[in-house]
Amino acid sequence: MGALFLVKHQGKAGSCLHNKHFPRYCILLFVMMVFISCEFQPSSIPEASVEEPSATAPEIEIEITPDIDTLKLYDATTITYGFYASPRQVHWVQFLWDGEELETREYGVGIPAQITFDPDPYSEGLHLFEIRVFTSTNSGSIGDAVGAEGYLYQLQWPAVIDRTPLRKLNILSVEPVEGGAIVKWEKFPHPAFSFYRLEKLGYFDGRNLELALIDDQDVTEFFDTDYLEGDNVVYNVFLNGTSGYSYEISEPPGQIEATWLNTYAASVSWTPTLNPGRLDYYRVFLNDKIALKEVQQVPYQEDQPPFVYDSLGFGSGVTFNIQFVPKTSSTNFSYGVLGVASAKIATGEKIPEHELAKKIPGTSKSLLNDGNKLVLFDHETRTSLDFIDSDPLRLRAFRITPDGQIVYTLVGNEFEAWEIYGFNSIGKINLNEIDCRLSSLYDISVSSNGRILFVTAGEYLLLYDFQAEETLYKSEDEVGWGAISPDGENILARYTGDSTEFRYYSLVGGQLNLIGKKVYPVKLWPNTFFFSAPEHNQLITCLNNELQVRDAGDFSLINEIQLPYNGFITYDPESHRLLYAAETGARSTKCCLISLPRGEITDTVFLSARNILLHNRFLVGRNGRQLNLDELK
Amino acid sequence: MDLTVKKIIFIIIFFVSAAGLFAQEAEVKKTYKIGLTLGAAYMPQSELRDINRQVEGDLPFAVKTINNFPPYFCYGGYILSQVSPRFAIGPGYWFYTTGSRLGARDYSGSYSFDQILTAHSFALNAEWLLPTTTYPVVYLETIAGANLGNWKMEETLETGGETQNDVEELEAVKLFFYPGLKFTWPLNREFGLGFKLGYSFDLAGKFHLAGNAEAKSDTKAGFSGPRLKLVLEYGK
Repeated sequence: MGALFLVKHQGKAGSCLHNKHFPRYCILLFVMMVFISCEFQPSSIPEASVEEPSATAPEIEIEITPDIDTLKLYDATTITYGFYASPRQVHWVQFLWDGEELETREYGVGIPAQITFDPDPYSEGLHLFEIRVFTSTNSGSIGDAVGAEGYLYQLQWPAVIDRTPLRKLNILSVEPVEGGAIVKWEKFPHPAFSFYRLEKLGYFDGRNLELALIDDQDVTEFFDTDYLEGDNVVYNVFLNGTSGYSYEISEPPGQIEATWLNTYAASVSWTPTLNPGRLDYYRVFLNDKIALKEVQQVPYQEDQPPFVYDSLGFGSGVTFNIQFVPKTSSTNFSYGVLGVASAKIATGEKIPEHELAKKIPGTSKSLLNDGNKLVLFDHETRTSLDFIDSDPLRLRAFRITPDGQIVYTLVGNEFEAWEIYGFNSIGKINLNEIDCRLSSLYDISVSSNGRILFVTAGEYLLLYDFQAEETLYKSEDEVGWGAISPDGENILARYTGDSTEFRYYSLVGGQLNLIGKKVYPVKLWPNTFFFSAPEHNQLITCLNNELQVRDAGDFSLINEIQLPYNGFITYDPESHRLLYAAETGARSTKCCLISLPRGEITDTVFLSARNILLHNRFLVGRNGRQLNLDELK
Repeated sequence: MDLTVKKIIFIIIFFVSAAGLFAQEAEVKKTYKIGLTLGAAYMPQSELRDINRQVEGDLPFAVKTINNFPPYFCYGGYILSQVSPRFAIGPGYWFYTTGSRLGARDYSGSYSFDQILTAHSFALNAEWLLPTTTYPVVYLETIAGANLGNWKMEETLETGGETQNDVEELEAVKLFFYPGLKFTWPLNREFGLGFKLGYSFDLAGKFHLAGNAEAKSDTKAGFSGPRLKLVLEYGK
């Protein structure tokens, strides 16, 4: 059956395939197959059902440093960033400058999340820095998986290129406050800023401290807990290491106040420190302009009791000083650099300060010369009664007559007499008209009867009668010094030569009659001869520690008193008392008032100066104080 | 076994037993033969499947295996010269191809990863007429030659209207040896129709990057596998 089937078909097939060109066709087909070979054709890909993501982008958290609204650029600046979109993935981040792409980079673990931008190629001024962040959608699509689909976030950052160079900064203020001080300095609001470094140099112990390193340009003050009032320190603020203008502060440490308690005592109080933690102790001391005295270290107490000083002396003020001494571990420090607060105090009732005072005998008044005028001052009432304007440059001297009625002034070479009460001029004469040698005048003494004894620098005496306007006596040379008695009838003169001789004369008819004399081994100087008031009629000489009281009539010795040492201070002719220094103390000088001629000690006072005037019961000091001796008792 | 397959086997046995009686006499008289073949070739490609699995694992999204080196049609031809009454030899050419595709597609785009293997096979074809008394005429056939192979890997990603395409091509000259049987039935004195069964073995040759013979691949991609072809033969 099979063979028959084939034979039948053989005939039919033979007719259609019987072609002598078949080999050619085969070869042609063969060649075509080679060149038109059809490679494997893969099947088409079916589409999967995936839900499209929301068109609204979810929130993303962005962290960028520096965290500022406007990016300020000076030189290459590093910007660090972090984007948190979990569970979505951040694919890449792109940076643009004024719309032009700077860089696009991947974002993820292991990739540095920072970019350094160098503004050097760009102009100064406002620009736009833009950051674009591309995240996945987590839709599960192919596009999402390969990063072709996602959410794009744009952060536009105004950027200012500011090439303001670094400069030296000023410290603006150092304000002491409780617990330290607030230091303020200039702000440097430019991108060149990197940091402020505040340093302090303390002169007290040479400490150099770095107080603060601040990387926020808006922070321009610092609370220095190390500061103590009065400390001498120099602050300096560095900008990126560039030193600024140093600011030295050395202020007095607060206020100090001295209060007069009684004759010789005062209390001293001061503003306590604002920073007790830094205080080692208060250093209180007296300063008499020459040396430090009475240095005391007073520890801090919350309720600081006043410091009491009970050794005030009369005659000059005392200055109390205080320093706040900071704690230090150094042994090499200097108090001298610390600020000092001072307060002056003087004992006695206040009167006008003056350069020279001369008492008006028989009264409680004086004439005070304050450099500008002569003031008639009543010590009893402590009031100024009258005054004469005097030329401070030309007033050479003034003398009051022993009866207290007239005052003579020497202005230039004009010698003028005034009634003390009313200051009416009663006469005037130019010394050159008397004698040309009086132009080099050394001393003048006057008597109640109008006689004037001039002593020249050339050791020459001239006695002049102001009322009669005539010269009564001219000495020979080498009369060193002299004084006329209150009644104008006697002259005490010093002669110099091989020895110093002390001669006492009576004046009779223009001639000097020697009453007595005494030889001293050394020269005698003014303030060593004194006439008592007429009622006592005595003459006092004081040489070194030897005090002699003589009769002003016959020059006989009444009493001789030995002083402890050459401690003469002042003599009051009216009360006939003499004040001398008995003991020199550390704080003040103990002085004794003795009544003459017997030399009994009547009072004891403490003085801090020697230029004191004893006027009856008042001690008058040039420092503008008077002390009533009666109130000492 | 499937019913269709049973039918095919039955028909083949039928033709072989029915046509064998007159085979010998007609065939030995021919001096040359020209044949055209069309059939199917199966090339398993185990290592290329591994590549697919690796790609699938590396992708950030899910893909499906669309094709996986299925049996694919092949065609070719030959010319045989009758050297002796029972032996003929001559040149032949065949074209083979197969491939695979991994792919995914959704609203956002598509992805595909294709591997396509092709071979232009040039060989020397020899056949020995086996002694049979009935049709079909049976030949023992051996083919030896070289497969000019091409292995193309093409990855295509299309998203948002943009397409990224990455193509890599490798080439190889692979020697092979094919033993098989040919069964033919004469349609008339010149033409015959039949089929061929055999298995091709790759003997040697490695793929290398196209244009760079030094960049060789160790991946075993080849053309070994069974062949089944229909034959239209002309002889005189």
